[in-house]
Amino acid sequence: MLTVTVRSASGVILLQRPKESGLEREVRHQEYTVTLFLFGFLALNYPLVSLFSGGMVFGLPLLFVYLFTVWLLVIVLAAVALGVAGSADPDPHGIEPDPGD
Amino acid sequence: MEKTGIVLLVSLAYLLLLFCIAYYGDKRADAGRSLIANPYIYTLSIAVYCTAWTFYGSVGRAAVTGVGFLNVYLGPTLAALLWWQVLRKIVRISRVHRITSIPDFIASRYAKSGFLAGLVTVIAVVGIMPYISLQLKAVSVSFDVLSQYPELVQPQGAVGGEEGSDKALFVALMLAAFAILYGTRHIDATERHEGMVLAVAFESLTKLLAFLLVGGFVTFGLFDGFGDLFSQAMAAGYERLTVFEAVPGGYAAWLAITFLSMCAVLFLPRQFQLLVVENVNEDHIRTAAWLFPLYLLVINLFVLPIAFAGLLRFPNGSVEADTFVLAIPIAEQAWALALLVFIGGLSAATSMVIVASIALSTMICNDLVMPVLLRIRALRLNERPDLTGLLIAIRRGGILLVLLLGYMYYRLIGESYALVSIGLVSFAAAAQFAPAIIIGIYWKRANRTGAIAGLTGGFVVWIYTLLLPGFVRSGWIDSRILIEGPFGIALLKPYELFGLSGLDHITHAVFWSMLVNIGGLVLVSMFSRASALEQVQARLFVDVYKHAHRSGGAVLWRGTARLDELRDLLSRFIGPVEARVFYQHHAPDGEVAVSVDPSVVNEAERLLAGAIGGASARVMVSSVVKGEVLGIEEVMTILDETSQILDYSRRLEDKQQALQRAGRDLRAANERLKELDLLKDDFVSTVTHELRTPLTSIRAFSEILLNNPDVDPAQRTEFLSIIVRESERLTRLINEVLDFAKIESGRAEWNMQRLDLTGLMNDALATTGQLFKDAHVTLEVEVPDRACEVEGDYDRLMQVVINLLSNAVKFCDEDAGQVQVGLGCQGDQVRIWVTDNGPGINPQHQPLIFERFHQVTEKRSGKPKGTGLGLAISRKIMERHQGRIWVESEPGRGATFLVELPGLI
Repeated sequence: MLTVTVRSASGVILLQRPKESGLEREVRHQEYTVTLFLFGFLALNYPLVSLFSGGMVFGLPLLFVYLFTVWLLVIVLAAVALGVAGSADPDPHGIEPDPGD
Repeated sequence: MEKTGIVLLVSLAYLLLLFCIAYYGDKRADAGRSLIANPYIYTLSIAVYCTAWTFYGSVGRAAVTGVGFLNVYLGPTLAALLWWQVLRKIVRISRVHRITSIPDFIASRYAKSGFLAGLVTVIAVVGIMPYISLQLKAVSVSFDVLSQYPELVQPQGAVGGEEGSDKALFVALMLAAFAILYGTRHIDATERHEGMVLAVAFESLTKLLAFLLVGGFVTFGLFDGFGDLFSQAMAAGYERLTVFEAVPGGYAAWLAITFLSMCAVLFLPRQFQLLVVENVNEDHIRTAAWLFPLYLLVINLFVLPIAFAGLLRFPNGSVEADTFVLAIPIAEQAWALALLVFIGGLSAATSMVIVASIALSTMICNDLVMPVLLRIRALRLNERPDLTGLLIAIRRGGILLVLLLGYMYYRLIGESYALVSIGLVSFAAAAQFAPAIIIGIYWKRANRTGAIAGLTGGFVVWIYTLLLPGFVRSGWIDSRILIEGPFGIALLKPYELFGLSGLDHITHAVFWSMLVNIGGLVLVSMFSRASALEQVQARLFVDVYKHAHRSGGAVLWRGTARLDELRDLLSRFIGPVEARVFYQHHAPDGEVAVSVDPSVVNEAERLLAGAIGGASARVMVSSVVKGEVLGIEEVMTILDETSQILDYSRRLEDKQQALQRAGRDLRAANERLKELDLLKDDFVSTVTHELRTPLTSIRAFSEILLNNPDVDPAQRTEFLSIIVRESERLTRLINEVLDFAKIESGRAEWNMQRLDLTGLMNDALATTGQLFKDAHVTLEVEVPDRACEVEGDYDRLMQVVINLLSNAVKFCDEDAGQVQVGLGCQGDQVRIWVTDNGPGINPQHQPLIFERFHQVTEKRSGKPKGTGLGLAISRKIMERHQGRIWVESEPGRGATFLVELPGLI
């Protein structure tokens, strides 16, 4: 079975797990990003935003701090999930799990 | 006034630099060493999203609405999370079908409808008009403000009246010239402009740098960091901007604008151009999906600080908030910074104008002008040998037209609105494309009639609720229509359609236009029939990943065409060079007057679609094809067959791989069997040989005794004892062979248990004591007193030890035999050793003596003393105990046999 092995610089195996297929990774990416989208959408809209309207934190307006923090969080989580282009082998068939009609 | 000259000169120098970058990018692309084929340039080029709106307008909006400027960037951040699903599909479709613009995409999806393409183009051109005017306004106002340096003079109400408008016209013409120079140098079947992308990426860096510098200057130069700035602002009574209630329209508008910007970031013509058409690698989307939002975040970090600083610096509203970014450096007499800010704003505006005008001119040419020209038979365009010149001319005209329309809008309306309000009107127009595209790539039943209904409805509502009121408020149309409704019908008031009040204008327009648009598309699609071609295109779009293996669309032509006719057609539109490549590919032997099959016709159509749009390409190809479009059943059959065949072949591939694996395993097993067979042969011949030796002597001596009855008794006794000895040897040999075979075949029974090796050693020594005495061999024993436990089979281990001991007796020095036996028990390692003082074993024989039937023949007597199986059996036994056995020896200095076992602690 194909496995993914992560080694430290000194060659110690840090992580070893079965390599997932292109399709599995695809589904995982989709679930993750859609969840992240829903999280961001809820966190950046009424009513959650209204909880942070007004007031100061660390000498800065709470509303600004809240919006920018959520924003940055979403970006960081997306970066972790999607990574940089070319870092993973592209899926061979480009199959998209399509709900179909 | 000499500052005017400097500003002008620097602007021109900057544009020249851009041109050089674009030129260099094109050169590199032609040389095949693309500079834009990486995710970072891709991301930077998408940042064309940040226009003068971002650069100047955000601060202006923040100064009035607090966080109200932000949702235009939060929307794209959220949308980008879905890019990996949605955008990638659009990119894939566009690549497969050679789609080069939004109208092309929508028209191709809905049966290559020329009407739809034209409709979308009109919406795009009209919808983007306000956006372009926004850029013109920003550039000319910032130019005005900066050229008054060191004074800080605000442009009078209507942007300096006639004079200001002339400047905007000048800006428009200059940008048009610029866009023409680098957008329409040649006609390319893919409509890619690598140079332009590179220049736009550079502009994105410029504006980011300029904005960060001015932000840093304001926050850390004029104030003592963020905390200081905000506390001063709070003290000055601007706390009202830090609550959500400052956002006009409240939460509804917040949601509406978030939604608009989600659509706009994908469906504004310039965004589509850079995201989809200029995409060189789908994988780049992965990086852009988070890096682009990061860019947006960084460029927005200093918006609020600058807005508050501006409010504090110019408290009485003497300076328009839209110009704070520039006004603050001027007021602080920071000339270099002010100039840099101006360049940043200029880069933000030019990048948008250039990309948008090039994208729009392509649409105007492919989807509006060419289809009409081609239908006018009187022009006889079909007979012109080369139309590329005409295409380029139309595109240049298109760029000029787009910019002049923008200028016109600016003259008529733009002067009385803030930047962001103008921009949102365009966003609402771009959002009209979203339903037709998004629903179209996921829902097969969406059809042409539905798309036309939805788009038309949405566009009309947009005009009525956003564009028209703009003209009214600028005084071009009677304002009573806003207050009382048209003809006094209150239900039709543009800002309160059907009595819907309580929403701000944008939210109101978004709600109604989307309701009509999506509702029209879905309902009409459900209640109307799609043509054959529509159904085919719908399948190709929705299932693009399934059909993507085929380089093009379905085979829709039943008839055939002559290759030379196709070549002539292509060379008219995409130029003779590319046409030659096409026919050389399909007619390597140079024969052109042949008929080609439908797939080649299809390829030609797609090539043509890149240059003149899908709808026109279809018309043109149909003029040379003899035959007709396939019926729906036939096409569906073809599609089904293809996906079935694909499915079969994939399964076949899996099977083949499994078979190959099985074949490999079988071959390996066969090799092993052959090896074993050889070993067996060896074994049999060796065994028979070994058996023959004692048999021979037994037979020989028996015969002597039989033939000579008068042998004297002493000799007879000797002979008989030889016969008995040899028989014993034979028995022993046969026993060992059986034993060995049993172990090797795995049939031996192992009685594994905890046992004490010390006891075992003592038992073994007791058993073999007589042997040592008979041979007069001195024995030194070194066995510990305490128990030494291992897990093993008592009888088998005993067999090993006895074998070693009897070997030692056999091979030790004949005259003064000495054997040392020892047992070492150290934690998890148990070791037994037996050392003799015999002739020793040659190093090259050492590994061999554990092989079966290998005997080191004794030079002196020449007669083997053992059966040759003892050590081989011992090794097998040790292997079974996870231990090992080996020998250490030097010739002439005796040999030590060692056994090692894992001990039990």
